[in-house]
Amino acid sequence: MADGDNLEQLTDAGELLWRNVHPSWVESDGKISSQAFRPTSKDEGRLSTARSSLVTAAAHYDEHTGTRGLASSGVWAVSVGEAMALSLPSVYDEHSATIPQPAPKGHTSIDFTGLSGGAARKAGGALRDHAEGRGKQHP
Amino acid sequence: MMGDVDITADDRVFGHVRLRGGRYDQPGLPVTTAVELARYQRLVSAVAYHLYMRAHPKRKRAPRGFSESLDLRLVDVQPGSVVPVLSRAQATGQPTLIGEDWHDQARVLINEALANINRDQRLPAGFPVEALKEFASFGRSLQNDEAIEFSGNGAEVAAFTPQTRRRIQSLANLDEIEVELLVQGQVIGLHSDPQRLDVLLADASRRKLVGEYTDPAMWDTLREFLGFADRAPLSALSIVARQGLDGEIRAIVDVLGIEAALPTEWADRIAELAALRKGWLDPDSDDPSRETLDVTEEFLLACVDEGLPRPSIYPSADGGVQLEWRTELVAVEVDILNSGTASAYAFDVVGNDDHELVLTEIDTDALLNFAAEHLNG
Repeated sequence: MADGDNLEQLTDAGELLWRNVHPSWVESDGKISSQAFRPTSKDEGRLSTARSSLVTAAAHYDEHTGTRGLASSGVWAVSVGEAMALSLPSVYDEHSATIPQPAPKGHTSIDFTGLSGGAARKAGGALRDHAEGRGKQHP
Repeated sequence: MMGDVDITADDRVFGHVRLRGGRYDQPGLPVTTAVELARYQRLVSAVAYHLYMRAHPKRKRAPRGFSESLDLRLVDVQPGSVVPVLSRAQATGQPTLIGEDWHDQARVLINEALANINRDQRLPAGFPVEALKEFASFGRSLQNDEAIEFSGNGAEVAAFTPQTRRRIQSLANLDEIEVELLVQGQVIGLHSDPQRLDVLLADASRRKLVGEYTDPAMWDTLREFLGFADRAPLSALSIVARQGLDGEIRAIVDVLGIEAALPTEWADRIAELAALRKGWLDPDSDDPSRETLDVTEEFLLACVDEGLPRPSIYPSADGGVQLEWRTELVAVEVDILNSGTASAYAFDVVGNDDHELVLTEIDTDALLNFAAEHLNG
């Protein structure tokens, strides 16, 4: 699905969505905070990821840590289907006016806006569990 | 066996007591002895209570039933002077006290105190001075040629005589006495000449203590605990203190040792969070404040006391700390924020039996109860 604002809701349940995780959100035993997989209060309910059909995990990591100069412990992944199972739409919005431009290549938002605070927190934990189970994708 | 209470079982025998000399060399047990045995039970209970409270500084009181849980019974009087056999009665189904046998620890410490007082008129390290009044009232009926001897399994005999009682009374009549103590707090000031330090106690009083240390080599050790990233970690200090008989520490006379109050892995992670600076996540993100880290350390210490496993410890995107536990059944998260608020969540992993606690003021007891209730099922 695409609309006039360059938004496309992803439907391929198997497609992976990359997510850089801040080093402070990874414990010494490798456990990741649920915060890494839910929007912060400044994110307006949208969790930033990048779709695997348009960018590799390595390229997403390099863009995050190199071009943008942000800290990352690595790239983890959840699937579109895992987000859907939690009633979280995944919306490809790289060229949309709804996010600051230029956006990271393949930028896709997992939409938490329909969830209350507690539900969003629980969903973030579930996504984190999927990502941990899949393991770090890069480096 | 009496009903559902077995007071003759060997494992319930509470140390060994022998009454010697004077009336006790005559046949029979003087009835006044029953009063002394009752005083002994009160003394053991008082020492056990203060040991428990000292080991759980976050608690305002001991668990329900603590005081009543020591129920000594006189189950036999054996020959050889007078040997009353004391046994602990514990009814079937009576809740056991969590973790350690505080009454047996108290019994051993009382024996140690008697030996020390007889030897050099000093209390042993760790004896709660708050129990001194109870100690001083023990043995009132004892006559000059009589003694009560206490012993445990293989331990030396500790004798209580009228002379011992006079020494205990003189200690109890002092305004303050020097004792060895273990306290938790932060070293917030340190000087090498003169050798002085300032300690902020981690108990509810949050009092600042000034004190001294005599070993010059202690300066290097204390300096390690003065603070990393401008913040002193919560420490456990072994000190010689001047303590009032109300239990209040008046001053530190010497520092014998210091170590992190939290287990190393917990303390190291707090140190990592303390090293974060504003903008750690994005340009506007706040690092965990010193006050938030202090409260978090206190909360984590209470978790250790409660026997909870180490949580994962993270900085919060909202400014503060987020703690996370995960089991096969439940995910528990606790947020302690710089704003002075806190919240806790318990998420049912397989269903929707979720729970939430939102606090407009940080209440570590409420957070601990929430976490323990959901993690312990």
